[in-house]
Amino acid sequence: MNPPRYLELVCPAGTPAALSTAVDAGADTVYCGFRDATNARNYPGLNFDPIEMREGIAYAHARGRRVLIAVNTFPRAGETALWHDAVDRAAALGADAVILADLGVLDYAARRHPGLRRHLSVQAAAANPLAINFYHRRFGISRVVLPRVLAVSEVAALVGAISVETEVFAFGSLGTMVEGRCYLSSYITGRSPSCDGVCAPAEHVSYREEGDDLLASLGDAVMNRFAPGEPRSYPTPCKGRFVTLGTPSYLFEEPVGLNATAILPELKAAGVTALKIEGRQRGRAYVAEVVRTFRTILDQLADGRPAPPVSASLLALTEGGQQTFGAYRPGWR
Amino acid sequence: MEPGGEQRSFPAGLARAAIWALPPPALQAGASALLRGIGRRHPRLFRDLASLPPARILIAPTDLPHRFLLTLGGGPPRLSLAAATESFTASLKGRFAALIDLLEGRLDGDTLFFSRALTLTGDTAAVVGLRNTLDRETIDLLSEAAALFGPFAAPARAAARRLERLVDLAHRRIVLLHAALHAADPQGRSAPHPTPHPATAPDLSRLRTDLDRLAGRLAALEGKERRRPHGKAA
Amino acid sequence: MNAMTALPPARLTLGPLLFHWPAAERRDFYFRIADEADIECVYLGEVVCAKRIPFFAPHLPAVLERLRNAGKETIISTLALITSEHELAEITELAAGGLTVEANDVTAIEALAGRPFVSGPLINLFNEGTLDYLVHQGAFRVALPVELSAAAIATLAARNPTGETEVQVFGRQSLAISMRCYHARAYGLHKDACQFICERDPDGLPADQIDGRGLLSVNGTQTLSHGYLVLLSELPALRQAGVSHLRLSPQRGADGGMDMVRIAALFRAVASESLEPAAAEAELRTLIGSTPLINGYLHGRAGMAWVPAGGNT
Repeated sequence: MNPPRYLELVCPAGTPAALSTAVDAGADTVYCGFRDATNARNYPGLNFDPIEMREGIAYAHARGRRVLIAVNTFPRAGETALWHDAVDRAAALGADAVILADLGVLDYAARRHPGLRRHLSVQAAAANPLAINFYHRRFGISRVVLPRVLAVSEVAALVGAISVETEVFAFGSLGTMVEGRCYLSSYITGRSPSCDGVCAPAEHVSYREEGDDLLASLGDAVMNRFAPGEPRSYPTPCKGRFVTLGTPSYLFEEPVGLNATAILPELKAAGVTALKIEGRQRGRAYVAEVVRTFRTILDQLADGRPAPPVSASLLALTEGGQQTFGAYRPGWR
Repeated sequence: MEPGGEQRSFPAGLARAAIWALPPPALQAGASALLRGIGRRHPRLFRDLASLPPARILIAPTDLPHRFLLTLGGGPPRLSLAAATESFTASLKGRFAALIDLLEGRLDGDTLFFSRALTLTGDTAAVVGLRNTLDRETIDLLSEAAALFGPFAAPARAAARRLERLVDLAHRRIVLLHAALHAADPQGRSAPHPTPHPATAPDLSRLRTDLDRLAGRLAALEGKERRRPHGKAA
Repeated sequence: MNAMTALPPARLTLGPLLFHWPAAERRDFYFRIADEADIECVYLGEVVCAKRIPFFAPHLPAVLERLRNAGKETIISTLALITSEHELAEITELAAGGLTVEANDVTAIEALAGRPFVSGPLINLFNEGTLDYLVHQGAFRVALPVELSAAAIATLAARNPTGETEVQVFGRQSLAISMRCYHARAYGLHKDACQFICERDPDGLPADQIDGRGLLSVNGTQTLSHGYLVLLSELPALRQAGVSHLRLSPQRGADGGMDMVRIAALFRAVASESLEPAAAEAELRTLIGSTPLINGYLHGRAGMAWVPAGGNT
């Protein structure tokens, strides 16, 4: 495998075409999932069957890159066999690691496939040294994907207190709730992000025009009303507009996307191993643009040159066309 | 697996002009043939499309007189011209070029919702499933369309690219010139204004001349493009 | 029904108070629970925000003593999200003390280092593998997540070797937890200078849909359902499925007058089959007022749904 320059660039692939796009655009590592509820982007038309996964891994490995397979949802009682199969398949296909969250699945993988690298998914929301050491000591995880709730200074302190690699989110959609423990979408639709791998499922999403405004609903609940010309967003509950104290507002989070390109040297100095790009649901065009931009920036930083200013094309790909540092900077909380 | 790096550009402007010019029966035959061709070259993609849940998706380009119906479920997908009274389970409206961007994977699923370029009604899941499935492989729509010309595919493709490039170039230059003109002369032509900065005065008049000449050439080009019997081979 | 009568009735528990009530009021609430409520087990402790802990800490010993003297089991629930040094210290201190702990995060399990604990409802315990693992690690009771359906609860309760499986049957359902304080945000304040504004909404701050219909309620960094979970007609089936503990989550009601002692009595009466669920539900509705009742998750539906007794399960 090619050693990553500066920071390992971990990129999303929702489809086989996105995987090759990410590899061609300079991803060090690509993460993807099988076509079922075993991963957290279980959307119609996305993900890989075993043959596509085998081809994808071959494509990446031939170019010195890695493939991680996300098996990062929580099996419902009585359905664990599908998750165990997914772990077995990932091992048989030669994945470089599996990304796991459920205690039972972690236990299974650690016992059945001790030689297969295990990464702790952000869905496990391990945000402190005790929690991370819990997973390290019991299940031998090699890497933790940190929840998007920590400031850079907290990331640095954490890295110093644990003995596994850290991967942090650098770009993409920003969930404001602690991952893996948010039931807002299932409360409204009945389908669970934790177990079904789908938040705000498309079959529950509807748009309706009311006068000049556009109403976006999830199930029976109205998530937002957009005036003409206002930036729209997908009706995810944590991105909705709600009325508190008589005033409608983006109570949880404005429609913004995370963009950490400007603070990559800080993340590197904090001791982070890898950067994660969110967006397996977003397709080839997004993957090509974001990965290429990050590749350029990382190469420049690796060569000791200053990073270029944030590109407009990247900004256009953030949610609502607006960007944030999220929790990395104080004040977000 | 095919490399996905290069983004080819489908001549949407040209195709739009051709669709304007075609009589409905030829268009119907062309649409079916195009889909069959994609089916031959992308069998796995077709299998995935066939396995999507049943849906009738109305595709309505806002800048064309025709609307199309994509029927999914229960066998291979079918594309046909939609009658005015056609029933559908989902609809997708937008400019022809935006719809092509979606088909060729230049617009992603989220952008579909964020932007106002496309309006989606009805069965959201069907459209998301379709979009994601189309994104699984790279479809080169230009090659698919050119393939309809049979042995003349290569020359047709080259001609289409050349023509589209000319039209596109002319459009782009006009936009640039307008921008330059505006920067040099922010009040506009008719507004009374003090004497322009001495350095910009001669540039300004040359810019105006260029702009007028280009606009004329573009009008001629677009007229020619509309008269071409593009797609008749279907 | 015959099989069920062979089982001892389920025990009632009072879940941790999720809201920020004034300390004296909180103390008096627990004194009254100790003296008057027909409840076997009381969970104390702060689940939502570490900044609230110092307010009640001085009263905790007296409250613990009063509850114990009344014969009630006492358990301390831990924070759902732990990131800061201060929060970590809180957990390690708690783990080192002699109190029984309900862990709401694996952090607490790690800190307890093998001592018995209750697996709290905010731990993702969805399946047999996780249940086996947590029991092996020392969970003597599992309080299941609110999202589970009756079928999942039955599978897990039947498998649980400790025989102690707990399910929430009353009160707003905890739906999400964040680092960000939405309460402060709603009042235009910052989390670090929040002025403990969440004290103003002792039953949660309504977060309504744009069209005015209720949907959620906010409690500091926590988001809860707007509707009150009420499982009454479901109690016999839950008991038969092996659920041993029924959790009532403390609420004050929209007007502040909700009486948890009375609510406990209603659930006790239905659990011991001395009152028809319909009669208990009718009285509950008068106590709750206009806030909707919900029970969707248990019936495999959207959590905010209400499936009436005898409806589709």
